[in-house]
Amino acid sequence: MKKKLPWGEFAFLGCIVAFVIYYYTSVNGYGKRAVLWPYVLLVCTLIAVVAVLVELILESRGKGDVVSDAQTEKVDLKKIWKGLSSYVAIIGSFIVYIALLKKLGMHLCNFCLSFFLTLYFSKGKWKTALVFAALLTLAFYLVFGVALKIRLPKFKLF
Amino acid sequence: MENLLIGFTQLFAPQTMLFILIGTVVGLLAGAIPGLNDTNILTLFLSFIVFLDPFPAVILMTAVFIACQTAGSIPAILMNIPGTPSTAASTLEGYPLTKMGKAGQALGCSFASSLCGTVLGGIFALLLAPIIGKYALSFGPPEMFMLALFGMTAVASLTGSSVTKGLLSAILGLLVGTIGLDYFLGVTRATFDVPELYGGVPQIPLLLGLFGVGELYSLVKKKSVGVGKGAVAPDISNQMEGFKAAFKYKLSMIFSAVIGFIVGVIPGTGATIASFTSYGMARSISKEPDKFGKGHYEGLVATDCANNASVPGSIVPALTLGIPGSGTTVLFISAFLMHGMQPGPTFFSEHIVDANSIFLTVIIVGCIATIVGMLCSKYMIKIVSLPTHILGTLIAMFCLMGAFIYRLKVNDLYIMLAFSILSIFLKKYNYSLPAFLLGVILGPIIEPNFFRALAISDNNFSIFFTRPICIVLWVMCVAALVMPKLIARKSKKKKEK
Repeated sequence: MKKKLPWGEFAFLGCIVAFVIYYYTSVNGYGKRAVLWPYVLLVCTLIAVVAVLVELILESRGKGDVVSDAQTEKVDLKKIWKGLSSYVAIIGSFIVYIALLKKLGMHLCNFCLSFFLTLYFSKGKWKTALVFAALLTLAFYLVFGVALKIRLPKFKLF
Repeated sequence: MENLLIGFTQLFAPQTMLFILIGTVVGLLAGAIPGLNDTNILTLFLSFIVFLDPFPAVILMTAVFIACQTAGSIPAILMNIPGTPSTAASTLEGYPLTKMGKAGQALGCSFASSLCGTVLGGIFALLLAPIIGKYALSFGPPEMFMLALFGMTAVASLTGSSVTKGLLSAILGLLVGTIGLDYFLGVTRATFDVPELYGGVPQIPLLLGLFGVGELYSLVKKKSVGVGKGAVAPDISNQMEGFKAAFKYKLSMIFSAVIGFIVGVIPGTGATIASFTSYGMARSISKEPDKFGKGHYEGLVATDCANNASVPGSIVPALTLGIPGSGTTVLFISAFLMHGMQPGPTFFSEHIVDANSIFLTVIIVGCIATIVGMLCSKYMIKIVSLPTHILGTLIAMFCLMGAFIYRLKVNDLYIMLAFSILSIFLKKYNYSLPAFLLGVILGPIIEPNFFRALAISDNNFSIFFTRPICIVLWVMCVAALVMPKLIARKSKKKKEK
């Protein structure tokens, strides 16, 4: 009978190892004093990753008999997308916001993002989203732009 | 005593009281807005502080400094977004309490702890500043290294269910803490060619990413912050319950205030280390260590008390030695110098009334900030009962604005986003977020002090074992690791009997 392994967590640990490799290549060849401490930490990280891996494998073996059916289920892409869609929406909207920040100005970007997020979270209440986005943008403009006089990125008018 | 009375009469002049009130309100607002903190608000203040007389100028700055620390816990408790870096530890117990529907109690407990921390710290400073100031310099690189190591023992209390995962989080944090320019050779380490990372990982985007945006992802699937049976009750009467509950842990309170004050006095440490160290120690000596991390008042008392007690502590070396203990105290020294006052060993003999007034202001502001904070939080508590589409958007926008206005760098937003993605995985697979954070904070302290200590001792490791303060810190490290097990064994034996 097949055992269920936490592949998602394995992938996460893989990312940590990738970061360790990147770190190693970025400091490789530097003087001893600059790399000694990072090297110690890199080795400790790898040891900890291996320890966690062993722990996970042992845990999954223990649970194997109980949850093994999960492996035989077909991969439901719709279900996976449903779980990931909110992350994609938030991270995607943040990336677009950051990319357009200097071009469109902070206030316009604030309005667009807050409108989108409210609309997304409220599942289509566009009137609420419009009013809330306008109020929030105005509040940020008054606090950061007018009261604190912070030099925020501007578009043509504001 | 006479000087103390003169200080009192100066403080209660109407004009000075007005400055204290203005400073308190501004500090409370700045502390409650994520991204804004005491340092950047006081930097803005410096431009017009020049035009004030020296006494009101310093009083105003002190008021802002203290009130900021008190208010920083409010968003940490209500939204899991630390208002200031030093209040990150308040999220450990404060936010779980909010989730349990005890937002009012958590705020009350936080205000009580902040009040006690500020008052006790102010009293310690009044009584001990001239003496302690002299000893602050005896904290050399080996002691700093040991202090950071002692801080890392707090990791033991932050590891959660799996020790290996907790350790991996802490080591990963330490590794991330080494990103940036190397202290000795000036070479870049794992900066991804991002200039904003040359000075190390910026703390505000890191915190907002890990806690703020990280919380946003988990909020998407909920209707509001309050979950389960204990729905959030936005009632001010609950605050008094929390306020009283804080005083059940009087010993923890005093202990945390002492730790906070001592850590604050040591230049280069700061309130963040004070609050995490105090949290770890409180858990070590607590009779109920299992309740920590699940919304326990004692943990909140430890973090907020130490955080606030460290503020008057950090002012002590600034006044007595002219050495700034933190970024904010650099501004204090600048303000003194602008007005022709030279902080240093002679400060107390030349300006004893001013020095006393500063510490008395600390105590007064602590009281005012608590009263104003408790009255205002009646409305703030309502934040947690807002629907997700409003609260989620608020959190997102506050995080983005906070990360950007910190240094006005667009890349800081990407850094925040990167850490928010990391927080998704850390949370999903039960890795300790606070252990990671503590690693990042202590990383830049451990490494340079370790090498500096070896440099002054000709690579002789005995320097870490022979200096008196180092020995005390070793004992404290061992005690922090052993005490929880001893206490648990003792209570188990008691139950068996």
